[in-house]
Amino acid sequence: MGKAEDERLQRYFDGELPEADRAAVEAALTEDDKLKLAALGELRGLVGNALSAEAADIDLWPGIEKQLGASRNAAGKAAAGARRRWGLRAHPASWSAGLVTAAAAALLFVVQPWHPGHAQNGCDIESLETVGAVASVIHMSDTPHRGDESTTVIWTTEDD
Amino acid sequence: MRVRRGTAAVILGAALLLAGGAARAETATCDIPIIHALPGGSNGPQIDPKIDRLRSYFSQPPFTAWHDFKLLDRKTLTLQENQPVQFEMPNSRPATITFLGHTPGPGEHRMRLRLWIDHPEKHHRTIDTTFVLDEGGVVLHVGQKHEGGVLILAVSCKTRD
Repeated sequence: MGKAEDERLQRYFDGELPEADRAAVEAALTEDDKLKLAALGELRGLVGNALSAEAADIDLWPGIEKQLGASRNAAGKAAAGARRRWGLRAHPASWSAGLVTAAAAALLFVVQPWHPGHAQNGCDIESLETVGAVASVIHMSDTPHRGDESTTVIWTTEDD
Repeated sequence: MRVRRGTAAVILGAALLLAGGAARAETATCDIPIIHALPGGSNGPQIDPKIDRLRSYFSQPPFTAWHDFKLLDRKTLTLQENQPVQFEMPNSRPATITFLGHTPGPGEHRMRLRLWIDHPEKHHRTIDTTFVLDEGGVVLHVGQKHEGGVLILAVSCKTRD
């Protein structure tokens, strides 16, 4: 994807595109684009939470630093690259906000939210009654995540 | 006099118990994305990025019977314990969800919920189910017909952040 397309996707994510352009972007979204949008959403949440926490005078850095461990330097480079690529803006008046942003991006590198979090539930169905339909309960494993989690599906097929 | 004091103590005790019970009544927040699954082409599934959390399930059977998964609506409901809350499905059927409280026991914070969906034209309740799941866990309900496809409800609730 070229720089122009990247910028267009970024503007789409920021809600800056007019309706017609939004529709065009949505129609042309590739799987890669969707993963990027999901990653941007995660990054926005992380940065927002980190800045809010900073405003509340909570020092997040020790905890984040502990989790980052040896990948910190590489992640920092990734964060810088991501900021260049996506034009992310740090708080203009605060060096520490920049640090928190970089930490959030580094955490993103470690957590890899573009490999999306997966639903799970530990569900027990206590009762299930249907009228005019047949119901099945299916426990599905989370195959892309090595099948170590599952979710429950209550599947009904209605009579015609 | 002694009897009157005893009665007053009993009333006060009952009032305190009731107040304690009321204080323990919990509130749950439920997030219920409603997804429209439609048949489509033979290439990979098209899944709305807003429901990417469910991608791993929609990419495998039996969900591979459909191709497009679009988020039609999203209900964010605040449930008071034991008080049913109704919302309308995209196919105009009323669905009702009730938070029945927490279940005792070790491990994850587990919640009891009841979900039912009525069929107004046929005057019956299509489904009525009670289930227990982990705080923040997801249960999928599939099967309500809608405009050439089916509706999928992904029910997820929590009582804490």
